[in-house]
Formats: sequence, structure tokens, C-alpha cells
Amino acid sequence: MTLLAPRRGTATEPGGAAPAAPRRRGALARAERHQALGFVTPALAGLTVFTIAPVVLSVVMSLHDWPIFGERTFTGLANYGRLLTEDPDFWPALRNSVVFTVLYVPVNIVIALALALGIGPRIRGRGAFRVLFFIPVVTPVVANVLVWKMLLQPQGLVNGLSTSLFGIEMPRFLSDQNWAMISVVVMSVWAGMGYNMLILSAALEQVPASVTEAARIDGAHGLRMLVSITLPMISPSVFFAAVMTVISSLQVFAQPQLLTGGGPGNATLPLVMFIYQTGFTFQDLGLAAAGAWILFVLIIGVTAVQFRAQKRWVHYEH
Amino acid sequence: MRISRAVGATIVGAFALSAAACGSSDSGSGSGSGSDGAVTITWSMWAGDTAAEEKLREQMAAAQEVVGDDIVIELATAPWADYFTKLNATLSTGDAACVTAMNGQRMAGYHQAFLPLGPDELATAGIAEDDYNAGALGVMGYDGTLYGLPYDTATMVLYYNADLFEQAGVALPTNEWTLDEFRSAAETITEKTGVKGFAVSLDEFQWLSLPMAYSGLQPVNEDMELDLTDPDFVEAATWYADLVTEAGASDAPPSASEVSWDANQFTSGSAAMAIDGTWNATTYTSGNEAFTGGVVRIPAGDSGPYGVALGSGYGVAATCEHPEEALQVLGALSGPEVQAVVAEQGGYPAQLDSQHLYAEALPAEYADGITEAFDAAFEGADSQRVVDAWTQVSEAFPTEIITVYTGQSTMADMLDKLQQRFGD
Repeated sequence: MTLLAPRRGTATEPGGAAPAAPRRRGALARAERHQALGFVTPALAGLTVFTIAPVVLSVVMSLHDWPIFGERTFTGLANYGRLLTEDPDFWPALRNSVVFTVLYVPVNIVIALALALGIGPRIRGRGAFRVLFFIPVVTPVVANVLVWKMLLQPQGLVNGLSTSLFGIEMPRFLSDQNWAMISVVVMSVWAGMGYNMLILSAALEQVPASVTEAARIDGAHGLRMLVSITLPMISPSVFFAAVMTVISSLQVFAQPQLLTGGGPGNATLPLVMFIYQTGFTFQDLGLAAAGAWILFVLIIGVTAVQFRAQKRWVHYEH
Repeated sequence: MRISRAVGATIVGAFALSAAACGSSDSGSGSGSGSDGAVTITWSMWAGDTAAEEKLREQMAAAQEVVGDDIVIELATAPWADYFTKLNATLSTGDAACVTAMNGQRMAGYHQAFLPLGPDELATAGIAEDDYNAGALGVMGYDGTLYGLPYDTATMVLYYNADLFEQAGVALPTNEWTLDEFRSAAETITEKTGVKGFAVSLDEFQWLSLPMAYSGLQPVNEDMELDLTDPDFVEAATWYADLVTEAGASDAPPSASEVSWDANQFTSGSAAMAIDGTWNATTYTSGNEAFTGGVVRIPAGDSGPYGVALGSGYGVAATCEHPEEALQVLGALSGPEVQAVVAEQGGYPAQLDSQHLYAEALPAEYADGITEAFDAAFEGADSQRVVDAWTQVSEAFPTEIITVYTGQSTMADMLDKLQQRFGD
């Protein structure tokens, strides 16, 4: 093909030798373009099938009254209106997602950072510690939740130890309106901190020894070293961890679904679980799609704010 | 600009490809044709564990013999808790299994998904309406039209741990028991043994049965309207929650996600009594548990005994490409051969002629107790009334009722909230 295409181009064009060279280049470029498109098409088809088409369909869905079966009717923005003004669970679900994120992200990053700093180069067996802290990340959520249920239920380990050792009855962690969300956050932090620990740990190892040495010679130690040298040096990694953790926490689903069932009431019902219930339990796919788009806008908005704010605190070496 | 045309063509091509890919899923619809001409009919059913699935495979083998080699039955299962989510997902893509299991309480919300069964369809299936009593068949109908055939008929009963009764010196429950006797026994057992006398439930009829017996009312009234706030029903439901909050005769479930908590408490010996369906009678009372189990009908309230007939069955998906073959499979799965297997496995068959097989399959030493309880429980059992939103109501129960058990809200407020939400 590469050889034939320019030859055909020159053969069909009447005229002298002078314009032939640019024409040949043009024909070659055109042929390559077609070949390139040939190579790109499978990827583009995949992108279309698995990303663009579902996205377009979900927009269409959100503008319809779209039951699981039966007639679908176009309703414009009515689903969005229903969610924002009528649905009794939407605002509590949005609030729960935000509360979860506000509690989870800082705690996760602070603990992950503390662990990363703690498992420093001078610690013997740091590899083993890293694996230990990373195990909950790779363990299925279902298994994690089973263990935490055994810990937190009234007949569980925590209450058992508390009553037998101190005679103190602990609250009902999974069914008390004030404790259920805290329990979900604690379990999620335990399950998710290993990932950020690994990122931050890798970042700490990349901090040039010359910089820390220079700082030490200048008299920086302990907290001063951490705040003024280490944190600024690893700030791009902290930023990455923060962005990814915020996104994943706004999408939280499995932990509340399995640990508390979204209850008591709607105390631990986050937005994704609300979308899931609306679509697949209450059979209203249009309303669920509208909820998903509101969540999407929320995530994009929060991420955009984070990117804007990074200029103030993230330091890149140029 | 020139490249944009090419890119445009590629995008269009890719869209066409994706449309073709999406479109191809429509042809599935739970059936297919093999190269040898045999039609494959998928049978979708709930099964919580391998033992349950094994039972279904035995039923499938019996049905396969009935339909012959021209039809191949394929089983697809999901646990009860996920079954309806999976069903919703397959229905939304038009890909529901040709023969789909449906729970009677939920038929109202799903009837559109099923092929209506008129005389012609029943003839193809080889089933007659007279094979059932009207109540049993009614659970698979909606608004006077039949959409499925029941494979079992069921009602809720009271299971008890005889060892704990003996330990507490309390007389065993009988089929004439009243709710006062029930509560008093639960309190005494709790006090004398340190084990809770009862386990309240988060799940639909497991919790509704006692309030219904107390008030003689269903949560859906005779005008077929959701009526959770009827003062008598509210009083009855409050009495039920008081078993936890006032009498201390039951613990509260630890979390709203623990829908089977009451059954687990009972089977683990952590509660002396629990309400569950007749489908668990052989499991709970035929020497399978570590304790001696027994079964009686739901204790009677002031207005006498009260229960509802429940049941599940199979229907043919409205989108099925091979309805004729699917009806034959439906007939085989609901017919006498499979009903005999169901009875052997401990299910109470829906077909009248097969029901005696249930008692015959029971171990002799347990047969009398179970048969007497079933006779008492099924006698005069009312047909269950449902509204279109019943699935939603029952799905909302666990997260709401747990707030009542833990004293964070009252039964009246909880029922009022659900009535406001689903009442229209």
C-alpha cells in the first residue's frame, strides 16, 4: 500500500515533474492518514462502545421517564427537578457523600502520610510493613466488611472487650444514627490507607538526599524539616493522592451497602447507593441517570477546584 | 479540514459498530438455538448456596426429562438478596431469562414483564387451573390476569427451640397459642436462660406476620391501598417493636444490612423463637439443627388466628423469543414430576395432587408436628394483598425499622414516613 499509493497519484496526475514532489508527499500523507485511521479505529470503536455510547445514552435516559420496562416518555429536565425539589432521599444522600468525603479524605491522607514517614529507610523489615498495610487494599471489600461487622456489632469484639474489661457498654456502631457514618469512615480508612501510604512512601524515597542534608546543615530538624522541606517536596504526590481519594470517596458504595445497608434511616446512604437503589430497586432508570449526572458535575467541580487551588501549595521542580 | 472528513467517517463507522454491538444483545433474551436444532431455554431462579442450587439442578433434570431433547433447559441463579437487582438489570436490557422465577408479593410490580397466561398458554404448558386451589394460583396473578404458575405455596409460621423452652421450664408452643402466651414465654425464657426468647426481623413478612395477627389487618387494605397508618395496625406494630425496646425479649439487629439476622439468631441458638416461612420447616425442625426445633402456626391475636398465603412461581418473559418452548418448560417445572421433587426436597408443592407427597417425604418422627402446624397455618389463610409499590415498600423496611428497634424513632413515625412516601 505504501508503495502503490504515491505511484498511482503521480500516474493519474497530468503535468510536469516539478509539482510531482509535493503531490507525492501529499499523496503519501493521505495514504498514511488512512492507515493511521485504520489503526485507530479499533481503539475508537472500543471507546465508542464502552464510553461514548453509554455516556450519551445516560444523558438521553436522564431526560426521560425510563422505567425498567414499559413505555419511556420524554420529560425534559423533570427528573432533575424531582431530585432537587421532591425526592426525600436525594439531599440526604448528597449530604452523606459530602460528609463521608470530608471525614474520610483528611484522615486517610494524614494516616497514610504518618505510616509512610513511620516506615522510613531506617526501619528494619519496612517491606513487610508495607505489605501488611497494603493487604486491606487488595482484600475484597466483602471480606473486610465481614471482619468489621464482627468487631462492631453489639455482640462483637469491641463491645465484648469494653464490657468485660471496663464494664462500659459501647454504642451500637452500625445502627446508631450518630455512629453509623463514623463506623463506615473508620472501616474505609482502614481499608484504603495502604494505597496512599504506598504512593507517599515512594514519593518520600524520591526526595533528594542533598536537599535534606542541606536543610539539616541549616539546622532544620523534626517538625521543621517535615513542614518546610519534606511536605513541599512530596506535595505533587500528596496532591495526586488527595484528588484520587476525593473522587473515590464521592463514589463510595460498597462499604455502606454491606456494612449498614444505608441505614439507619438514610444516615449512611451515599449518592451512588441512592442512584443504585433508584435504578435497580425502585426501577426508575431516568431518575437514577439524572442523579448520576449530578454526581458527575459534583466530582468534576470539586476536582477543578482542587486543580485551581494546587497553585498555592503544590511545588513542582522545573 | 480534509482530515476531519476522514475522522468523521471513522467516528460514524465506530458508532455503527457500537450500535451493532449493542443491538446484538437484543437477540439473546434468555433463549437460543443450538446447532443441532434444540432450543435452549434459560431458567432464572434464586439460590443462596450450593445446596440450594443442587436442589434446583435435580428439579431441572426432572423437567428436562419431561420436555425431551428438543429443548435444553439452562439454569441461571442469583442469591435472593441480589435476584431482583439482577432481574431489573436484565429486564432493562430486554434480556430476561425466558422462564423467570417471581415471588408472589412482587408480581404486582413486575406483571408487565411476563406473558399473560390465558387458556391457550396453559394448554401449551399442559397445566390446568384446577390443579391448584384459587389462593395458591392467585399469588401469581395481577388484576385478574394470570402471569405465572406457582411451584410452592407457603405461609409464615412460628419456629421454636424446644431445648430452651425446657431449660426455662416453659410449656412448648401449640397451634392454639395466643400472642399473650407468646410474649409471656419470650420474656420468661429471656429471664431464666439469659438467651433471648425471640428474634425480631427486618424482613417483610418475617416482621409483618405478628403485627398482622395482632390486628387482623394487612398493610394493604381491602380497597387495595397501602394503609400502614391504620391506628390498629400502628398499635400492633408498636407492640411488636416493644418486644425489643420494652420487654427486652429480643435483641435489635446489629445493622440494616442484616436482613437474615433473625434466622441466624434462631439457628445459632441465640434466640428461642423466630418467624419464618413454611419453606424452612424441614430445615429447622427435622433434626438438622443442634437443638430440637418445632413449628406451630402464628399465635392468634384478639380477633383469632390470622395469616396470609404466600408463594412463588415461574412465568414466561414477555420478551422471550421462543414462547412456545418456554411455556413447555414452564409446564414441566410446575408439573407433577417436578412437584414431586420439590416435595422430596422439603418444599410444600403448589399443585393439590402433589401436596400429600410433602408429608410422605418427611422423617416419620417429625411428620406429625409439621403437618399439624401446616394444617393450622394454611387453614383460612387470607390471600395477600399488594400494591404496585410493594417491592419498594418492602425494600425500604430494613433501613427504617431498625431505627425503631434501636429506639431512635417510633413505629408510628416510621410507618407514617413510609405511608407518605409510597402511599399514592
